[in-house]
Amino acid sequence: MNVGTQITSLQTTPEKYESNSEYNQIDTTYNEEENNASDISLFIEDDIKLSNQLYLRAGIRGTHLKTKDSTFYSIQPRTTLRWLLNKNTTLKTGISLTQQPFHVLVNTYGYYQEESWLLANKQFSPQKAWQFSSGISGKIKGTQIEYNIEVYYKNMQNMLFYAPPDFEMDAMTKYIKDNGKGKSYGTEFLFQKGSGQIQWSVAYTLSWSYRKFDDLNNGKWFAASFDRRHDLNIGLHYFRNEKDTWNFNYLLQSGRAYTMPEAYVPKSDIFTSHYVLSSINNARTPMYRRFDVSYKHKGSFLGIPKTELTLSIMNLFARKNPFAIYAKGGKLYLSTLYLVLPSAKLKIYLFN
Amino acid sequence: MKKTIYILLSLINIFLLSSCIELEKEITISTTYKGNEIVVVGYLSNDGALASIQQTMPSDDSNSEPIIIKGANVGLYSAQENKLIQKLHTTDSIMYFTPEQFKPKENTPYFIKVSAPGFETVTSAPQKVSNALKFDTVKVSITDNKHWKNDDAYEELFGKNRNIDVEYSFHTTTPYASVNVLELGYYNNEYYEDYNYYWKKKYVKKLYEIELSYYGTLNPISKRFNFDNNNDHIETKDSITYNDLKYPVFDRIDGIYLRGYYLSEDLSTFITETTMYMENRTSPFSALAGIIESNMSNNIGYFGTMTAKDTLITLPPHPDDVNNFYQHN
Repeated sequence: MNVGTQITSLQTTPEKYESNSEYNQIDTTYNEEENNASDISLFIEDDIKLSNQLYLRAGIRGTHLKTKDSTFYSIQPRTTLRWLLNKNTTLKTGISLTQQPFHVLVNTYGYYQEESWLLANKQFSPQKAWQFSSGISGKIKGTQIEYNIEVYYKNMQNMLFYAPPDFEMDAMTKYIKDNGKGKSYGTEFLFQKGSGQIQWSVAYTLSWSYRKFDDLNNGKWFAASFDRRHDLNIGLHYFRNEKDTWNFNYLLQSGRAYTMPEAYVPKSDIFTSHYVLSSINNARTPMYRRFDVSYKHKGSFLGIPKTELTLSIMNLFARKNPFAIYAKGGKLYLSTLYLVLPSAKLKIYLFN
Repeated sequence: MKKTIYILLSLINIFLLSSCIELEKEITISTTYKGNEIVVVGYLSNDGALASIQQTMPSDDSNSEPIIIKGANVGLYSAQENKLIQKLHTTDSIMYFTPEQFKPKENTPYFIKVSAPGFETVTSAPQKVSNALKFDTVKVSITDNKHWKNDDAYEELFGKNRNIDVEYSFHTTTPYASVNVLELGYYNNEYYEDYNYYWKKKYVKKLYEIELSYYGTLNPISKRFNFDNNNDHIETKDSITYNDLKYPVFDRIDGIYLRGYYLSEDLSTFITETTMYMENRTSPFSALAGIIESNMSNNIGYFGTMTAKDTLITLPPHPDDVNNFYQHN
């Protein structure tokens, strides 16, 4: 049985901009004070053997979250049931309730995406989420291949959405939509061979993530900014000998969701030209694909014994992955952060 | 050892080569454009209905002129009886009006319906006009001061500096009320071209031939009154002061046009959000993640209500214009 307590001190500094330039000393806190909070929790959990094949892990966590202007109490139960079908296969299912004191607010300024963190307060309650998951894991008979397949469903409450019509920094909270709901669900597959001279892993996630607010998107569900339908990661590791290792990694992810105007309406005698924006996150950036390779050598280097040299090339095929999409001169452009990114790292072990 | 150094040099070469390649590329992405649709932006006022009717275009086609929808049928319908009450007419433009004699009934729901060959028919949510904003008091006071240049020659030629205060008060039941104080007879630029002609023509037209069903462009409510439910009586003052670019006789103000109006809350939100989005976006794709609500059946545009009331105040001639040289009505 595990019994314990956890005490966390949290502090946020709202909208603070600091600059070393004497001409750029702007107070962007607008007299808002730092928000300090304490999160005290007590938990108890135990493994219960129901039979030789059936195990139950049950626990509960009670939290007391005190922020600047309010206090939140919550009881968070969690339980996992494991059924050992045979020595190679395990079925498991679980359900849990969690509470998150921070809200993340995502905003995009032209090309850049900015995340702000907001501590729960009197106006915005902490996020809560119920998660149900169920899966099967084990080893494929007669091989060294391990697998884990899991389905999950998450239901979220007290979600926030940041929807500023302009860049007014002094009115950030004015443009926060609250009391949102969220749901995400999907399946995760993992197959891996973790022993031998050649090791590999294939991880794939098929998932959906949506949000819903009464006064956004006509009250309909819309894709969350982080909604990624496909996420594939393939790794191959070749241990040539005790000193030399080659690693190859391939990553493929669906593009992120963003809001694209559906149409344009030119200026009339009574109103300005404008875009038609009738649904949120209705478009996707192109897929993100990357192939990385790295080589690691343990041994002596330039006469120095006991070193570890790692040479790597990120995005070997110079794929232009999307960072932002923008319009210029009537054409659409995609900007990327980097192409091929080589690097070298040398570790020197001075002591045994 | 040599092999490792070769690998290192290759990495540096790759880095130098890749840094010469542009980090952007032209792309084609599938747009969310659903094809040409009818766009309605307009309002029902106590003097009739006015709407711009045009068609959408792809969002990357942002320099185009509006496209007139040929053969459009635009009608104002009774929401209670679902019956056509009044057709809106146009003069071969995208603007549609009800005839001058048509006045909608107060607190009666109407909706607009637009159909055209090749387009999906669109309707708005019902709209009602309410009582117009009425001024309880309006007081205009004029103060003639020394000219800002403190120059007798200037004063003799152009007149003393002038300050016009317009004090007004009204009761309102909504924060979406606004008052525009318009100056009539101020034609600084036209004077230098042909003052006799322009002054007379424009002044007369502005003062007596105003199209009452047309209240001008839809702008966000810029003047916010300190309205709350416990204090619905607004008293305020606007001032018109001649600055160093205005000459009280040349740039005369012959009248004050006081226009008080109410916007429906949702129309006000539509105007404000759309205007702010257009002013602040850096590209069509800059997130500004909110959406602009619509009360039309195809989720494009808005048909709201604007109730307006105009009050005209004629000002006396400028006292320095002793020979009536600058009189023009």
